[in-house]
Amino acid sequence: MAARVKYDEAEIIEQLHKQATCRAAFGKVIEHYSEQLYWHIRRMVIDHDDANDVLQNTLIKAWTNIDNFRGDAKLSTWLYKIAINESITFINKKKVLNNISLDDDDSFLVNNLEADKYFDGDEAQAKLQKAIAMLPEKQRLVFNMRYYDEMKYEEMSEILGTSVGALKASYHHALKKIETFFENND
Amino acid sequence: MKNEDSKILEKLGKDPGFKVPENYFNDFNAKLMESLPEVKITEEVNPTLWVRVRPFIYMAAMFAGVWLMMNIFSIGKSSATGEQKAARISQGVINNEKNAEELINYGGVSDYDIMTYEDSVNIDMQEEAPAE
Repeated sequence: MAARVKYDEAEIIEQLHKQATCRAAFGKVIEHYSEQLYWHIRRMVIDHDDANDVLQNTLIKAWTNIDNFRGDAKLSTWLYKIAINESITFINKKKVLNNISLDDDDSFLVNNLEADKYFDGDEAQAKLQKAIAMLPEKQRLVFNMRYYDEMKYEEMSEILGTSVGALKASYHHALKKIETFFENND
Repeated sequence: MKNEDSKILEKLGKDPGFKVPENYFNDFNAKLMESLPEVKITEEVNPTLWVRVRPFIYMAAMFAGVWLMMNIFSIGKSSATGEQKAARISQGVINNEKNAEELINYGGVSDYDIMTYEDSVNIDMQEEAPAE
C-alpha cells in the first residue's frame, strides 16, 4: 500500500469548501477513505466488480454533493451513509434483475462465491458469508460494521440513525442467527 | 474487540476471504480523480466589520429616535401647561377686577368705603411695623 499523506480532517473540510482547493482536498479524502469504504461495500455486495461500481458511484455522489456537506457530521459518517444507500440501491436493482422479491434475503449474492476469482477463503469463510447474507438487511449492516470494521455503537448510531440499544440488540440477534446457521449446517 | 460470546466467530477470525486485484486501490483512486466532473462550490464570505456591527448601530439609532421623539413630545406638553397656567392666572385677575366693579355698582359699597378700608389696612400695617 502506498504511504498515506498527512490527513487533517478539519483542514480538509475547510479546503473542500473552497473552489481552488476542493479537488485536491477530495483527492486526499479518496486516498484516506476509499479502502475502508470498499471493504464495507464489498461485504455488502460480495462481488469485487460490483463493489468497484458501487464505490465509484459512492465517491462520485459525494463529490457532486460536496457543496451540501457543511461539516456538521464527521466526513466518515457522511461517506458511510452514502455508501450504505448506494449498496442497498444496488442490491435491490440486482434483485429486480434476477426476479427476486425485495423482501427476500440477500443470500443470492453468495451463490457463486467459491467460483469468484477474488475470493480465496476456505469453506468455513464461505459459510460465514452465506450466514451473514441470510440476515435481514439492518442486522447484516450492523454485524459487518461491528464485527469487521470494529465500529463503536455510537458511531454506528449516527450513521444508521438507530439507538445504541437497538443496535446492540440487532448485533446480538445476528450472532445468534449465525450460530444457529452453523449448528444446522455442520 | 472480543467476538462477544461467539465461539464460532472466534474460530473463524476476521478475514472474510475477499481479495482485490494487485494495486487496485492506487489505480482506482487515480482513475476516479480523472473522472470527477467539475463542481461549483459556494464559498462562504467572511462578513466585514460593517456587516457585523450594522444591527447594533440600527438598534442604537432606533432607540435614539424614540428618545428624541419622546423628548419633543414632552417639551410640547410642558409649554402647553405653562400657557394654560398663565391663562388661568390672568383669568383670576380679570375676575377680581370684575368682582370689585360689581361690588361698587351693585353691592351698595362706595368708592369711599373701599378707600377707607384700604386706609385702615395701611394704618394697621404701619402700626405693626417696628419703629426705625
